[in-house]
Amino acid sequence: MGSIRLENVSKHFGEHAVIPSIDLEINDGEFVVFVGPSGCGKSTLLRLIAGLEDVTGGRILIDGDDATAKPPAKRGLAMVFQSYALYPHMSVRSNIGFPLKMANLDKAEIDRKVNDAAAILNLTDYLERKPRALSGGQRQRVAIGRAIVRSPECFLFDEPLSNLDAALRVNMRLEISELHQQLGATSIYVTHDQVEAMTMADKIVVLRAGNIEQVGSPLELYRSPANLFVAGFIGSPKMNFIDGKAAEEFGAHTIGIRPEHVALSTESGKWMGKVAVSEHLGSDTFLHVDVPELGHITTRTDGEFPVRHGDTVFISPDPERLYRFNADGLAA
Amino acid sequence: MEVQARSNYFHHFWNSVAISLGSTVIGLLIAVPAAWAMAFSPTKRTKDILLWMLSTKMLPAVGVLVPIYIIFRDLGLLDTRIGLIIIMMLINLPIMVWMLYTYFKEIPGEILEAARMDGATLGKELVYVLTPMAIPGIASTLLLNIILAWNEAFWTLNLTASKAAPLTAFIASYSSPEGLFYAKLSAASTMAIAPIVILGWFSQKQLVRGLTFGAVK
Ligand SMILES: Nc1ncnc2c1ncn2[C@@H]1O[C@H](COP(=O)(O)OP(=O)(O)O)[C@@H](O)[C@H]1O
Ligand SMILES: [Mg+2]
Repeated sequence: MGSIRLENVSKHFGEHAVIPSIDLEINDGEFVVFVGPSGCGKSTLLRLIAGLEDVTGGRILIDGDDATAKPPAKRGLAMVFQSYALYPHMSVRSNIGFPLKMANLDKAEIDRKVNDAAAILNLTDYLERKPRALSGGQRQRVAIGRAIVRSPECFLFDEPLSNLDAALRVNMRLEISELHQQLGATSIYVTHDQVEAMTMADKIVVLRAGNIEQVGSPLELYRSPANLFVAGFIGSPKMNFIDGKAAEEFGAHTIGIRPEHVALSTESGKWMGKVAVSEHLGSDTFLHVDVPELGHITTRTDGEFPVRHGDTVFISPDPERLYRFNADGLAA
Repeated sequence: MEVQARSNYFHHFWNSVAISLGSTVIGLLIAVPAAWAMAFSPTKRTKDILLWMLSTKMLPAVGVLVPIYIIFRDLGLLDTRIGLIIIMMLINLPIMVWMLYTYFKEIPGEILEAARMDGATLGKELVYVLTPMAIPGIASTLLLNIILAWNEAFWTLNLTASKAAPLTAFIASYSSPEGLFYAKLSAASTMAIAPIVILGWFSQKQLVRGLTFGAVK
């Protein structure tokens, strides 16, 4: 079991209310991603769950038991840190085996479990090395190994991939997802990268300034964002927002159109504009179009849409997939 | 050798060893917990205490010579090894605390948090994580203080006659009212610095070894 429940949890650093008040329910076995811009309190929230910070108010329930006052090691959680936080003076074997040694397991059993974890993570050949003799990706694996040996109820990840290069990041993302399928333990994963959130999560929690903006599955957030912030945060390239007359025409204060929901044509359409920049990615083309009555609009179309800088194009929104927001920025 | 013959080099050599090692070891026993507390559970006053400790090093030693001399005389500590060990330890303590504090500060907090998540109690965290990581820093502090204590001349000259006099006092004896014996003075000085040069030579690697390379990032 690994369900977690936050009731009215708040955290202040001095006068500064980093987390005003949060209620959240995390089910057993779920992969939950906390996503939000840098400084919004994601790490703080994770550290509150881990027990590395004390809550200012509220309760944290793990498996229905009040864990608010329990020390980190008693909560049945394992954490993977952004900096990996490996013990520099210990071999990979001792790093991975450390939690077991702390739990006073006997040597043979520690060895067996460490070998199993190393096999899962392709670390078998590196067990006798020190962390400084490993690459970034391998260090990350060791950190994950140290988390999985204890078979915890729940894994906590704090931006584990942000120190890796782009290609490795995609790989590790897949590995972590696979590992989750394999182990089935609850996972809470913090990132500022919405792509990681969309690809890995069962449930995304969008945070801003210590408040939950919306909770939902990746597609729920994509299809029906609750407000402008979530709409702008989820999806890449970013949703286009249009105010004023053009929006009033659709009966809203602001309308949002995703780049992939704009129909492009060289002959006719609702709005006429000029191509400012075209980015050809091969599979996709991103056109940045200047439309006199709307401003700058980003559109996405398939591979070989043949236009260049300065060409005239017509764009029309897909009326079915148009987002309407009221003056408070809430979905209408 | 005349230098040895005249005034018993080894007698002073052992005094130097006892005083520098003794003061350093006792100093570490006090400085490690102090620096530890300041680095890992600082209070609002920690910075002030550190500055105050350093400020004692700015006072000219002559200013406290007379009171210390009187205290030592009353306690019967003049010209004793233990007296010198105490005074050496006290004058180097601020430097020890400062050095250790800086080293301990460099141990990344996330590693300590990882240990806590991994179920290490405070005692185990100390034994398996903190101490091994702090050892290079402690070793450098130890070495530097042995060198400082070995070379210290002001207090050793003023608080010893001959029984507890270390090598520094021994060298100074060659510059006496009888005249300046440059050749012998040089020979004695060479013999006085030789042990510490050799010690420094063999511990270079330890002194410069990076504290946590490869741990974080
Ligand atoms: N120990 C602390 N003391 C004071 N302020 C802190 C502390 N930890 C975090 N904060 C503040 O809390 C806010 C959220 O930090 P954090 O949770 O690290 O954000 P995120 O992980 O989303 O980037 C930031 O404004 C940060 O300055
Ligand atoms: Mg963070």
